[in-house]
Amino acid sequence: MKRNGHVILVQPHQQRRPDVAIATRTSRHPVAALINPVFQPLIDNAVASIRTVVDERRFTPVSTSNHQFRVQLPNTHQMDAYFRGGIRPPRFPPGGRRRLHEMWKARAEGAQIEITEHMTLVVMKAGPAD
Amino acid sequence: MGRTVEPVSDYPPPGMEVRLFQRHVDLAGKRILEIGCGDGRLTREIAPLAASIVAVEPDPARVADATRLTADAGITNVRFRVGSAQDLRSSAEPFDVALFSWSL
Repeated sequence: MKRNGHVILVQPHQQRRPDVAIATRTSRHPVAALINPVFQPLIDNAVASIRTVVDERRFTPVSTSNHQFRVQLPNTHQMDAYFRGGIRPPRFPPGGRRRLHEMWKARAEGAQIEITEHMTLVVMKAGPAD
Repeated sequence: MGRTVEPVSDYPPPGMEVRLFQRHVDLAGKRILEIGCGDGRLTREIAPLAASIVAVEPDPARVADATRLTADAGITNVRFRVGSAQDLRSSAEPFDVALFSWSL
């Protein structure tokens, strides 16, 4: 890595897992915030590693920012396929899936399942601050 | 910021990540190392900006997909390798930017 080169990390938010909602063009009804106990230690370790290289002055923080994006899916089967596509998929908290199915049965015409994903962008510069 | 995906994907919409990167790091003309490139989804978004990219991924099948898809897109400034970040410790190649994208 060149001196003053940059490291960019894109990763899931440390605390926030995907949110599931049922949404139409004019309304949005939250269902549940998902959980992912398997994944959590990995993201915690990644954040700790970033802190370590900064503390050791091997890298200088440039920016840390949180972002989100939303994905609309037409039904619960597509939602399950969406999550299965990940290596370590999240899951519903207790009672969350039942709530989803109840809300989905009572959905308004044109409603979709909306997933909000939360990500963090970390930018660092190689070497200590000038 | 909504979208409908087909096939479904848990990655941001095309262009979103590159726009965010460019707020902090100008990728134009840079030599970029991408760790955990998967099927090269993001690699192909960055390639038009970069001078060159070395993209590393531990899964040989995904590297094969990445190589094929990138060639199909007519992109020629990317080299894919099977491996991990640890494999590159002794690399003498100086990179301007190292990118770890969703590689936890």
